Amino acid sequence: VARYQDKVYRLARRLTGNAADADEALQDTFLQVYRKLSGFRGEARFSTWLYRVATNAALMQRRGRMRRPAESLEEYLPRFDRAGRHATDSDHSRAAQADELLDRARLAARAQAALARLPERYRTPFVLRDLEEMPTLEVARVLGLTAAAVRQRVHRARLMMRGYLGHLVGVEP
Amino acid sequence: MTSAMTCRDGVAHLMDYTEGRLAPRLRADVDAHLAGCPRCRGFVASYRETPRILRNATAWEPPAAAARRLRRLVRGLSSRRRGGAEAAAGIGSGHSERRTAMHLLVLPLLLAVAAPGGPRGPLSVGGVTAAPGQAASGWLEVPDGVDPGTRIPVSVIHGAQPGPVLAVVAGTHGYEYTSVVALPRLLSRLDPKRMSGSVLLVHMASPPAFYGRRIYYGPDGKNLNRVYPGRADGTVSERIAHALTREVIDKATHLADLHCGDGNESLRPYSYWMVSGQPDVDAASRELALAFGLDHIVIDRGRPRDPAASAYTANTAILRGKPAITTESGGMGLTDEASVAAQEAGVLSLLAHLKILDAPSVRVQHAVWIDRNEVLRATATGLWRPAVEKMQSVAAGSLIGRVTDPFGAVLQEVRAPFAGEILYVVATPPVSQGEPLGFVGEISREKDPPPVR
Repeated sequence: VARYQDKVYRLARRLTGNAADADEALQDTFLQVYRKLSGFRGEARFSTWLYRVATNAALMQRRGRMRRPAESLEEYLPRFDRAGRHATDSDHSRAAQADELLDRARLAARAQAALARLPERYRTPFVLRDLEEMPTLEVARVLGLTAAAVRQRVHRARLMMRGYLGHLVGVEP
Repeated sequence: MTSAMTCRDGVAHLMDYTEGRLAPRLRADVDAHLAGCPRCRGFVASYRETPRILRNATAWEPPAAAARRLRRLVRGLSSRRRGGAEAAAGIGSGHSERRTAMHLLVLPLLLAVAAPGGPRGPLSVGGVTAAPGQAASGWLEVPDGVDPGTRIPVSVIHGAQPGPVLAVVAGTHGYEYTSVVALPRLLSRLDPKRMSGSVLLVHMASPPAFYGRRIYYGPDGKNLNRVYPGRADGTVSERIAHALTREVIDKATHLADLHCGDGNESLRPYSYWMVSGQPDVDAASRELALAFGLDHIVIDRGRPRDPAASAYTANTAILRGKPAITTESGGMGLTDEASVAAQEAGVLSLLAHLKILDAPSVRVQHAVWIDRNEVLRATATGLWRPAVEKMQSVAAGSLIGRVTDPFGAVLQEVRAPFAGEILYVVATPPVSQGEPLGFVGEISREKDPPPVR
């Protein structure tokens, strides 16, 4: 069960973007789990239910904060010319080595900041599916979306994050 | 490449393409486009790797304080729960019964957070398992990955009675021998039947660095003591760090990382007390440093505070709420008896301090605390000629040594940034830009022992 504690914390940290909110969300999740046990009817898997509670706790924590006007990550989406070709001559493969090219602590800090800058409609599906590695259908269930919508949002988030990693190692989108 | 398929089209299909969900016809079109478009090939590679890179970069673990808060919360809930269950049993309505049943189902899960451990069973590191009152030695496997793996020699000495679990790590750097020689001696002196608590010995953290006679770096060019908590899909040093974090640090309650001067470093013995901002952990780490018995103790306030980028072995334990120290005794590739015996005696004293052994602990009575300290580094690659020796006192601005080019021209003159003592100095000529040349420490005027801040 230390496993649940670690998972809930990691999820909350990825969704809220900072340690203090993640700590609050962790405590809140276990409190809610305790209070809402009657709401858990064994229809869903315990882990799915726990993820739903934890996701909501983390999102509430984030909403409780003053919203900073976040710069958009849209600028890191790939750019194309009129003929639909990549507009830059960049070596995109460098972004695939961002973790080797960058200092680990710096990358961790930048990754946290970038996640926080993703619009919520993209961040939550991306965190659950790509970072927490939940199956698409389970993400859809937790978020009340269709599987197709989850995939579409994860794809767009990945494009933005890919471009951002490239930016960190000096590659134009 | 079909005329219809552009880079933009390809990118639109990328998720389905990389996950094998595209219809065969469309897939063939994307394949054909990729064959003729190097930019898209690079793009696909980075698109595929993006989740993994971010997953690893954000694999945060709860700080000790958060985990402690949660344990308190769950303990509080469970004591309330016990009262509630009796009341529910008294009322006996269908709803309450269902609620009680659900609580009974899930509360044990929560309680396991509050009371880790449970009944005392065997203790394992990798495949090396010892029952209570027994000892076992064997290998912790680090599988092949992007480069060849290795196997780390470990011993598990599992005391007959419960108590703390001290992890002792030797040979993090390949040319530091005093700890590697001390650990088999220590193993022969430990009797698990007389122990209250357990000891995990890592005899040689990086066998490829040891057998390759490597200074500072493993065969992958990485310093094992800078890559914690490691990663399962990294190079061999990172995979070693990953395995040791999960199999040793996570299973211990306390840790001592034993070092000495590397093959090129002439060093006076000292310990590091790492200050993390967690008052209870820092106070316990300070007591470990005093119990180890080396009278010079460097107060190290500069270590990373992010558990996902803890970098150092001892810091990895500390950021997981486990008191830890790093010790330094010996150097220059030597195995002199005094340096080896200091490591061995230090660990025995730690075991006494933690009450794992029923023996007296040797606590330093008057430690020399070193607060301000600085590693002096080479700004140029060349030949290093030191002008000082270990343990020497130096005045601010006095000459520590010079780096010259191979023809004798001076590239760098290194001077003491403040008055202090030479804790170690590089004593062999080769030096590369950025590498350490020496370590100078200023003796603290604060009271002994210094307070936890």
